[in-house]
Amino acid sequence: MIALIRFQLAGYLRSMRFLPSLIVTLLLVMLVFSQWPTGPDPVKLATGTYGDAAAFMVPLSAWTTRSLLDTQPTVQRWLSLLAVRRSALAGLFAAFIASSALSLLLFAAPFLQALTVGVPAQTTVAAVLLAALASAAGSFIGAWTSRAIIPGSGTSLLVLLSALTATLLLGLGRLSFLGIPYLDWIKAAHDGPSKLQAALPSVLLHLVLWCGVVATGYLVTLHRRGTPT
Amino acid sequence: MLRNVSLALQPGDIVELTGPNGAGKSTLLRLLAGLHRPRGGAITERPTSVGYAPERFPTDQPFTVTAYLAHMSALHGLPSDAPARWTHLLNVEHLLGTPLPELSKGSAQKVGLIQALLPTPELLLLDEPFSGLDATTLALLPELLATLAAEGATIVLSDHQRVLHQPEAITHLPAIRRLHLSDTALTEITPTPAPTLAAARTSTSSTAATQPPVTAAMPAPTAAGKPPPSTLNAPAPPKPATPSSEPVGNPSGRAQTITPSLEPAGNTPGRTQTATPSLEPAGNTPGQPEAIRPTPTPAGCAPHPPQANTPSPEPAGNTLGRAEATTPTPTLAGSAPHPPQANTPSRELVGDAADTSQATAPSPRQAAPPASVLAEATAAPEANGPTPSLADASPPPQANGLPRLADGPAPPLADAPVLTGDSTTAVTVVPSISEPSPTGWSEPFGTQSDASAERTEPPPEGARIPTGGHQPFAVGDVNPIQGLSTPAEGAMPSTQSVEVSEGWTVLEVIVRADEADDVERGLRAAGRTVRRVSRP
Repeated sequence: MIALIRFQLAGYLRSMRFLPSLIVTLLLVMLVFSQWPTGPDPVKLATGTYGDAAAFMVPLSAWTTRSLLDTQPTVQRWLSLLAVRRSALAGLFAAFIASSALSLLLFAAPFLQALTVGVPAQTTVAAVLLAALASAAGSFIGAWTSRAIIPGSGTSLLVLLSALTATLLLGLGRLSFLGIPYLDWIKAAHDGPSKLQAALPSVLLHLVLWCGVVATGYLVTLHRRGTPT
Repeated sequence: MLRNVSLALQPGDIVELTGPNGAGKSTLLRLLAGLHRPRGGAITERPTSVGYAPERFPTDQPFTVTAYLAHMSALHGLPSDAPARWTHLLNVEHLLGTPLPELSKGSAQKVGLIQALLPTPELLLLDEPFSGLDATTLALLPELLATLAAEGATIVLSDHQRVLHQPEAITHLPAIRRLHLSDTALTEITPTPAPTLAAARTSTSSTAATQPPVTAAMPAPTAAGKPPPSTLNAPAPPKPATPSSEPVGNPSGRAQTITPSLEPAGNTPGRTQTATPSLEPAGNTPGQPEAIRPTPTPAGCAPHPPQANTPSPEPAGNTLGRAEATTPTPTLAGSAPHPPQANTPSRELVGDAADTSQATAPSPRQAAPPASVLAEATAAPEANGPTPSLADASPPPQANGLPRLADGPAPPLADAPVLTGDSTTAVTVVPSISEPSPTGWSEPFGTQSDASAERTEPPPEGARIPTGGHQPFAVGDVNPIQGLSTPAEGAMPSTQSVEVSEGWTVLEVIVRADEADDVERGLRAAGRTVRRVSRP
């Protein structure tokens, strides 16, 4: 499986398909740096930036995952599948690695701000957990829209955008448990370190359950597909 | 797409899937590989190690050949140098630094084959593996498949090019199972004799269209098929079956097919007979080889072992004395890496041929070649070399067609598959090397002049194929004007002589009824013009 992860990452890097995600990440980093926390409560602002960065990580990871999983042509995925039976899992791991790398880059800016203004370490740890789960959630969305599930690239792109929008909008109503709790953690982060830490358990639990369901559905769907695409 | 398919594969099986486009051959291969899941039924006891070569290798990947194969090796838990022996065997070493998207179709096909062979699969599935391959690799693959099967691998492949129907391939794969997929059903074709492919030179003119097929009693292609030693340190593949002379698909009794003989031939190691000089093989004793030319040995392959000629059913002297012995067949020489070794038809075939022959007049070529001639023909001329003939006079090419058969010695033959039949109606499929081959399928074993030239010894001067009588047939270049003719044609009365425009050859191909569609499809795919005639 490690060999397949390396194979997929190598293909992703050599194909330059990472460039769109990298460019977007760099733009976000520049945006964060351009709004350095100042004013009466810079700690609160820096904590809020943590929440904003985590929210951006969802679409960023989704796009990265979709790009990575679609790097290999369909027939090559068949060949990889014959060599490594758990190739779907390997693909997810490769996607996590790529998404994590970009998320780390994106997370560097708010982390520097937090260090500068003195955000508590516990808040930073909570933000790291939040960012990791947000990145994972985005990866699963991207995996669902990869060619293995949706063969048409145009269709999959529409589904990706729709899914991201839906996970955001679902958090506004009664079906919030179906969506990703962006709004919950953003609001908590902008309310300050204490609020974020207080809200974090429920947010993390929500994210873990959500990721578990989505990931299981993805793997089961791949396994049950009669004709891999 | 597939219904009621029941199939049991055993280790060592080599299974050829045939069927029209869209019949589901690729689907079945993917089902066997486990890439597709059957909606109903099950595929059980699939080996853990499965190699799959797709019909179109995915070259749209950002790797060089080396990097790609190294990654694929790693996927199989093999060291990065594991592909080395395969790249050497398939002659891909010069492409190792080439990016995959820049590979030609054939080169990409080779990479696809290598990745499939990497894990030493217990189940090897090849989807049109011969597509786009060069002649050397085409000649190598049947031998390679036989070796893998001998090691215990189960091999299933589809083959639209019908490479495995070539006598040279049958020599290596005598026990191949043939499955036909059509109308959602899978049927196993029982083993049949070697394909009878016959052709006669006829005319493109309307007059020629009314001519009966050239009738010549052809020696049965009793291909002695002892495979060469394994290049993979594997035991030799099983020997082909014994000769059979039962007619197949021959309601009129005018065409018969012969199972390639497994009688060991006694040729020089590394050499292959390319001519079938006598129906009554007078010279089929070891040391009296027929026209022989070196066998192009694929890269990485060991030289072929000595092969003994098929024991003659009669003493040579008797054969020589038989006036009714059928003429030697000047099958095309110099092309097949593993052509039939000895063409020793059964005596019954001789009788059949005589009974049904339309060439009632004794033909000069219906005399067995003298032993001295046979002994002389120890080597065929180089494919592109001189074309010596038994007769001093060579036929001058005519301006607008082939030389009249009755007017002079027949032109030389060269570099085409040795596909001979024993039929009286019929004769040889002779894809002229002068014809373009749009897809290349028609010359899988035929036009290997390059390979032969690289790997064969220069032929001794004066090498000739005994043809008997005044019809000399030598091995050498095919002249598009001189074209291709057979002794049978030479035996035709002058009134049956025909002329064919330069660059054109009319072939008559006689195949089994159940193979007709495939053959026709293949010919059309190769850009040939096909006219189908059903005979009672």
